[in-house]
Amino acid sequence: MGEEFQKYTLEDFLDDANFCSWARYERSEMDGFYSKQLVKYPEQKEVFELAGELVRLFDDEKLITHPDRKLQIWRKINRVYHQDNKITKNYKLIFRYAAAIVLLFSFASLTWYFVSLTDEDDFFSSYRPQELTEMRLLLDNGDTINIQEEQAEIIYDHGGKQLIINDELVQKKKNTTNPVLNELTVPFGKQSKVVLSDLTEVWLNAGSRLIYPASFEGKNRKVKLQGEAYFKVYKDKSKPFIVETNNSSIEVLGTSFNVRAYPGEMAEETVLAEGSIRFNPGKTIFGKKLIMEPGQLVTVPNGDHSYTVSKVDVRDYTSWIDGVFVFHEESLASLLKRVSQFYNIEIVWMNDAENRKISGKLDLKDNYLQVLNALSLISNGVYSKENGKIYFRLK
Amino acid sequence: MLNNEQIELYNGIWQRFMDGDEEALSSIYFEFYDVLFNFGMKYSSDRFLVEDCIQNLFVDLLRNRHKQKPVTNIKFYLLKSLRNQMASERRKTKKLLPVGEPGEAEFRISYSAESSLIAIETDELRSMFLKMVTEKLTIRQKEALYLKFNCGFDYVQIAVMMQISVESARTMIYRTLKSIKETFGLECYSDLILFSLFRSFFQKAN
Repeated sequence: MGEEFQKYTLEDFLDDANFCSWARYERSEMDGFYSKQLVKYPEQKEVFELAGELVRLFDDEKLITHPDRKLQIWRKINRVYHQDNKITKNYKLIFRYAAAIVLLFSFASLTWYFVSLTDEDDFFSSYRPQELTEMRLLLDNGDTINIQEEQAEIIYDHGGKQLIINDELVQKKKNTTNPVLNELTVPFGKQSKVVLSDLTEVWLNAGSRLIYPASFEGKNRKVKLQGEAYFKVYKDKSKPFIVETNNSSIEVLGTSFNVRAYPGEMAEETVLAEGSIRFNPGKTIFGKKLIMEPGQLVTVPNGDHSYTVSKVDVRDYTSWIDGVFVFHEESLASLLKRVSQFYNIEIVWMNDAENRKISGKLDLKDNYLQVLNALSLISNGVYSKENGKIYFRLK
Repeated sequence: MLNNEQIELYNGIWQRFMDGDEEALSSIYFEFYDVLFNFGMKYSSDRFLVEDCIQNLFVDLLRNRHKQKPVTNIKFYLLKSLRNQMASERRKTKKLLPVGEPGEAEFRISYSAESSLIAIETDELRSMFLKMVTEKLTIRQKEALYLKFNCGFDYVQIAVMMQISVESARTMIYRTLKSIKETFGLECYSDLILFSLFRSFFQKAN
């Protein structure tokens, strides 16, 4: 460059790949060069700086994905690859055993049908995550596994035959004789993620419970939920995925959505991030089925068949899976409730917190005191700690 | 960005993958994930969509391992494949809407935190107006400049990526830069004077 620097136009600078990468702070060996040239030809300063700024305007946001997430996706790539690899290899075998499998399927779906019939009331009445301090996983063979970590990732690999918890392969002690369902309970203050045998990903928020089979063998994929979960359903048009809550039934083919159905709360909330879902509020057999669109929120009051539909910012409802709460004109009371569930602390607030609307973002990796400090700052409130409870007041 | 030496290294790893070493692809995946993700986020604001497309890209690579050819620049090859994945994903989801050229629908410029920081430190007003000018560019123009400035691709690579001729790529970038220069010269400085007048007026009022 040297001599030419003096004559460089805006286009010349931008055409120079060395200059572009230097402007993005990528090559330190060029540092001295440009400042020396600028001292020599100060008249070039204007064009030089403009070019640099233009380059930086088009720079990436430099988003860094957490190594764990990268690893999760890499595993999924391999699972998807090996799954369809197996299908082509065993093509002939599948036909040979088709009859046997069909028999097995019908047996499994029959069992599933009866199990779901008898378990129904039992499941929705026995919700007591408050009593738990650890995550608890009940397997279909009757084994119970307690998970001590704050967060867990549970994977049902190889069509549900292999179970991996936080990267460790779990050996099942005995085999399943009569298939019962798997059940995962997450206490308040913890979170968990499950990858089901069909590659559907489920993020379970604090104080939630999910029931699902180790592998889906009926004509649909049915799970039951209490509490809050984000579902990223793997596409399989032949087997609809159904989420049942206390009060609704949600049917999807392949999509992402958030369901919030805590038994103690006034209403159930479902937010659709992408795709489309069929919604049956109140689980009535001949009731109206609602088709939801992305960005919509459906609210169903507990114990009711009515519902309301509204348009929302999906991020406000799904940010918790990234370890942040994003909220927009949300009432302080509802936010305090989310914080108390997430950290498993008791927070007492006055009625005026219902009317105080706030917007912002909380980092859940902080401890609860830091979060409460941030909340006091946004809402202009104060909190105090007495007898193990937090009292939150507005100034 | 990777320098030439690193690109050579990864081209070699790519060769190992073609020879049947599936593990080799995992080192490519982990090295390029962030680059791919940032690139993908320029074409869609949906994080999960970008993740899905990266996933499909690597599943396809594994599936078609035997059909792969040697590449001259692995980074270019991966980014181009990701762009194709995202275009086909968009065609699937927006079947009913008229689709223009692939990738056209949604290219976004999200100004990086670093550039706004510099804006405060150096010449705040000028970079504000520069932003205003670049916001007026068409999606294709923004994409071309991004590929050139940020990814460091040459005109041939930009042409392949955007599915246009090398000559059109060159002309597009030349014209875009020219229009930036012109608008910057005409509009902005008059606006700049107005703006600083306003500011000094309000400062006095306070």
